[in-house]
Amino acid sequence: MINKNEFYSDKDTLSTESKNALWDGIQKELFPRKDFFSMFDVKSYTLGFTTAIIFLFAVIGMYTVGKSFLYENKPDELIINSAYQKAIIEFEEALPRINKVGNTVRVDEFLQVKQEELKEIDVAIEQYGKDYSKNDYSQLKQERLRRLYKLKLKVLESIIAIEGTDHETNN
Amino acid sequence: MTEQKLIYKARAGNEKAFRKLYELHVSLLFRFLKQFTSDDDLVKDWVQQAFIKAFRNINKFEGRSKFITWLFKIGINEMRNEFSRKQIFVDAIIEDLEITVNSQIEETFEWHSDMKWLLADLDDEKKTIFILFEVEGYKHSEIADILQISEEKSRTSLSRVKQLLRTKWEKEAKIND
Repeated sequence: MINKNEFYSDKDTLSTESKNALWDGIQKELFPRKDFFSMFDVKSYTLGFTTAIIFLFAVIGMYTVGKSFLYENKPDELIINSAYQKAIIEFEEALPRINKVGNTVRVDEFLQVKQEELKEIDVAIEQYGKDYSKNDYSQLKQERLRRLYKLKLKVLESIIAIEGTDHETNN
Repeated sequence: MTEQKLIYKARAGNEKAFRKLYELHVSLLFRFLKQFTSDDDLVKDWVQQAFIKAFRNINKFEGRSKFITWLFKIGINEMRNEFSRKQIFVDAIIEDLEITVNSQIEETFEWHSDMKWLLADLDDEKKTIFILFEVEGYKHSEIADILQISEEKSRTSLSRVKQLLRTKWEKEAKIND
């Protein structure tokens, strides 16, 4: 066997610089360093983004369909009651105008009494909500609620009706 | 850390372990492949490609041979591919000569450092067999595996090379005298 040191010469030796340069090439090929932007794979990002958008629209669609389905299947009592609730809200919105006007003592007293009545009705409605389940669409519950709503509307109506009567007398 | 552990870690994608394997073997592969061309850059390319392929196929390395033997095999294939692409084959000047294998000559073969330049006349396969056997210390069975040839061919080729080197060396000596 030939002595390796005798056979190979100095020309066959790889310098440290060459060794490192060779490794750099290997490293680049096998273990590429990822910079911030190359971490994003454009294809995956686009696919993911599109999926998210489609999913969002699907959720919105499902919500809309579900909502309209629930509304369409609401019992009649509930629809009437919600109409009362809307009417009450609109009446209540008109109240501040009346309260702001400078009233006579008699009107003020009247308003005070009516406000007390409203508070009592509100308490009763609230109590009703607590006593019964939110999803209780039973006829009994709805009728009782409707009665309270009607009562509240009447009180509100009477408050609104006072406008233009004692008002003018006051002036 | 043993070579086996390094290979195990490199299989799992461990860069540091593969770097260590590289450090251990790069010079050995380079100096071996350097015997086939004077172009340093070409040899560096083979070495680089050999390591890249070794890492990518490290799961196929069964550990039946040494890691360097496997690297030699990959490196030699790189060299062969390059030569066949460029159609650079060192035509064996001596190939045409009818030489009968003489086992006695093989046994009495003596290497002289001045003989190295005579290797340039050999074709690449014979040169490879000679270096692998005589310098790197591989057995014919290992050479057969590395070069994908039969053991018999490896043996015969080596014997021919030695005979040729000796004949040429003697001729040169006579001329110089």
